[in-house]
Amino acid sequence: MRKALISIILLLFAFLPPAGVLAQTTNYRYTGQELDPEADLYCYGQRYYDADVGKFIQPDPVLKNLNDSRTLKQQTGQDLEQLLANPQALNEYSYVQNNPVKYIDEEGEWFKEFMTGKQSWSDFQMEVGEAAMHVNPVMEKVIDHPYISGAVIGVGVPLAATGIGALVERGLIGLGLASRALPPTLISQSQRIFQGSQNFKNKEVATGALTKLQDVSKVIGKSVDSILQQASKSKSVFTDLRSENYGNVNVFFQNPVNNEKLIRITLDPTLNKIISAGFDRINQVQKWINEGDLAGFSK
Amino acid sequence: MDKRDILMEQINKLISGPLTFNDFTKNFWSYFVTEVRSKDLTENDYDFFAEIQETFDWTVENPSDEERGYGYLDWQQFIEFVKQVTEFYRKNSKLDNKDASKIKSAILKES
Repeated sequence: MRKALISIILLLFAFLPPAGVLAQTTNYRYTGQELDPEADLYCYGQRYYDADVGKFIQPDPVLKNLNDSRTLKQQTGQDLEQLLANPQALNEYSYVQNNPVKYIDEEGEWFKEFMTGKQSWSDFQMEVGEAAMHVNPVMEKVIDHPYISGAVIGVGVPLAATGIGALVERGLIGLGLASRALPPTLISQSQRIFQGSQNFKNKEVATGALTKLQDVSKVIGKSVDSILQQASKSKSVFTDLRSENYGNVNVFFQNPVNNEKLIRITLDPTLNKIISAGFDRINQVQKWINEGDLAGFSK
Repeated sequence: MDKRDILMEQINKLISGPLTFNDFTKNFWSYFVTEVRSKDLTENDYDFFAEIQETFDWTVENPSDEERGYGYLDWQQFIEFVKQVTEFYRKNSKLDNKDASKIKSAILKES
């Protein structure tokens, strides 16, 4: 019970503003940024962070270079494919991909591994106290994927019985982060797609979707089977929260002939069926993520 | 003829009637997804043509009831969509995804 309580505290800490409620005697917080008391914002060099909503108020300038692979690699150390594998990486306003337990962002530009930045694990421990000592395997998973923590906890682990998943959900709502969290019903629904055979080649394809897949195939010069195989491997998986597409699962991956447009495969998880294929502008996908229309799903 | 003119010519042909589904796939859709980059057009033009291409991804000539359930447009609905977004774009000089989605939803509701 005590461990469960500590886990809850630790989880909630993951979504709190940088120590904004934990220390009151200095304007320098957490990773050393100064609080501007008049604006009630933290200055991170390149941009300001609003601790009340847990987001930067300006977009991450680094993500303006999505179409410039060389600059992107220089600034983030990652290529586009690696970035796409982590849906939160495309959120221009989030603080360290909504994962302040693992990453820090000292300049408001990109993130650094928590353990290799200025902050150490012991600094973090000082902030959360003894709770940090009790990170168990379940919590490690949650720390890696806080934005889908409901799903991670829900997958047959003992803590699910304590109702922590529901508490986390309520906690996120309380902190105004609900728009970035995938509702538990959609998590279990989306999971159906990845049960059994992982290869999309074995899934049923709606007639219209097959026509579109053949069109995509002609354009990029790869077979339909090869496109479906590539989609199966993609980690860029998003559940659609827009009303007209609610619950559909979109898988995105790089287009070899035009890197400004991602290849999209859409599945209906209730039927476990591919229902559409096409191309979406990478900047539009990013907008949908920022506006909470697409929520990242970790398979 | 620059890329904007090539694309606009296809849109005009579609609206005025002579373009078939297959012609549009080849002359607009394939051309836009392979040959056109954002730097080739103004930002507003690029978004306008992209909304048309992305909506065409959800268009088939004669969708089944099941496909209609997924939000597919048929060919006539798509032509109506292109007419309306083109008119919207000419008036506002800008068309974003939300505007285009509203127009698409209204067309789907009418049928």
